[in-house]
Amino acid sequence: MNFVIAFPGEAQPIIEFYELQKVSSQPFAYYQKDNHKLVISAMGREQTSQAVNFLKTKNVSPNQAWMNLGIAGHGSLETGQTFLAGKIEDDLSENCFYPPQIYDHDFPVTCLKTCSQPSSSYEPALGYDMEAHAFYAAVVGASTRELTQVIKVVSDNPSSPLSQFSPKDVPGLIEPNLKGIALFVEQMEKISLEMQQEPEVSNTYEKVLGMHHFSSTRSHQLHDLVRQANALELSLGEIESIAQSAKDGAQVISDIKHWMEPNRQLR
Amino acid sequence: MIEVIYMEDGIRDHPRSQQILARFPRATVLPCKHYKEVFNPAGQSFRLQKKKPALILAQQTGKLIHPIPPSYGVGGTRNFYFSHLLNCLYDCRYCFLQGMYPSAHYLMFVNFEDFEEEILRATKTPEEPSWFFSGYDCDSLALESVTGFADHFLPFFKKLDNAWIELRTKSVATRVLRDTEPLDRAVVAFSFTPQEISTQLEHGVPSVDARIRAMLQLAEQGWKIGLRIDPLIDCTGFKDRYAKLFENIFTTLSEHTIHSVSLGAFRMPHGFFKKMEKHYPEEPLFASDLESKGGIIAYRENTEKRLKHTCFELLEKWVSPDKIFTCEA
Repeated sequence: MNFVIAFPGEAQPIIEFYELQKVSSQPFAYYQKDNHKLVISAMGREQTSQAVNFLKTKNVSPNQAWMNLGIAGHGSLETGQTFLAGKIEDDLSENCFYPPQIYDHDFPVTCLKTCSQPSSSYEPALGYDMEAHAFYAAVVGASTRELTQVIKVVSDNPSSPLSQFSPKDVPGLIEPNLKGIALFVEQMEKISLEMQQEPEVSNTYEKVLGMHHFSSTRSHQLHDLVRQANALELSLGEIESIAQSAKDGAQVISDIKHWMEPNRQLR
Repeated sequence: MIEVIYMEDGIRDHPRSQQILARFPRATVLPCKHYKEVFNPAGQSFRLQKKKPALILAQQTGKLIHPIPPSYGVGGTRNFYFSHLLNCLYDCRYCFLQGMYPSAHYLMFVNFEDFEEEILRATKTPEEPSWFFSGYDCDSLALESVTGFADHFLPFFKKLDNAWIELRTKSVATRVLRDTEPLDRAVVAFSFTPQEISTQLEHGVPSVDARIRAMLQLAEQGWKIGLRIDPLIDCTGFKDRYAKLFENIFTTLSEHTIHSVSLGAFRMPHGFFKKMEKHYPEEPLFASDLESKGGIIAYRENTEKRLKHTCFELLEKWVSPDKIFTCEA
């Protein structure tokens, strides 16, 4: 999971929950442990975009899970309520994002508007933040939209407006929601794993690639053949044996094709 | 079943939208200006969305009915398809929808009356009957409880004396048909692969036996039945499996209840196939002995001929050859 969070107060409960360690402070405070990474972006669109791009450089492979987490105002939800952004608008852009909702959870799903300035006016059923739209725009392309989600905890609403809100209250808003957030994170990570290539395929492919010279076209062919052999539940060890016996890359491709031919039928 | 409904601003007050919203009072409703904002963006995963598709309610504009090549017909020469719904309740691994659409959300067009107007225009040419296929981009019946499609369109087609409608389905939710007097010019077409293949490839689809029972009920009521043996899937024990399928069907249904049988081997536009393969790299079907020819991925010519020939011969034992149609790519 890649967390992109605007303020230290919002990030602290997550850092503690996942026992993240600070890796660096510049250009952004960056924390990590195992497969959890967290960057503190600071407020606003530009900072958020840069923080996402910074996190992309941290060896993030495609189709990882990404989450923008933080506090937000809301026109109708109670303070302390966690909600999921089902539609992300922007006060400077016509472009909207609709994060696909494929997870099981108890959070309300509502629209969220990213604003240039803190907003003290509230429309019903609408959340207000300053980062989500920029976060989504920056992540698109690095992962699928299903694996890019925005979760917010309500910090202010019409009966408890922004003017009464103190930043000191932020960790206290996030902490009670950690269990639900962690369950959501777990689902996203599971789905992300489902989207990763099977390691047996990449291992065999890499091994065979190291045995002979393959042109760009042939290396694609080799990858397809290894993947197909895996799909057909054929022995990938046999592919390595075939490759060892072959005299060059062309023969590897030809011999694997020949070996697979009788088995290319659905059972 | 439906947890999220995206709704175009322009059809919020449409009576059909309101009916559907009333059916799902607990669904989250999210507004959008145009369905393309939700359905079309790149970077969506069809595979992941299949886990929990949302419903998009929209209005279809532009051309609403589309011609179909004659080789896809079942006897008619003027063939059209129209789609009140894009995407399907089921998750068949060979289905072209996985390669065609960026999203697996159910996209329903609520402006049925606009489709009717265009169908009426197309049927004004009196000399030849027109055929309208409704199960091209979706299953015609599987989401009937949501869309009310058949309930609306069957009475409409009943009034047309030179138009046929084909409802193509794998569903056993046929109540709407059982509650309707059979139409003279309607074919209820069920798609089949042998149960062993269905189990592997047709996720969420009712069993072959359940579909045969549903067909029998409709046939006994007087509905004309179509059999769509499409796509033919090459597999071990191909001949025995398809022989058993046909035996199960034709020892249950009388030949005279069968309007038509169509046969077509698995084939797919190259671009769609590549997307499907990317979605499901572990799928054995996509590792079959296929070749790319003229922009289409299909079985090698000899294999395709063998599959079609074998099934044609098997079918001839049960049904008159003039009822059998083969679909070409």
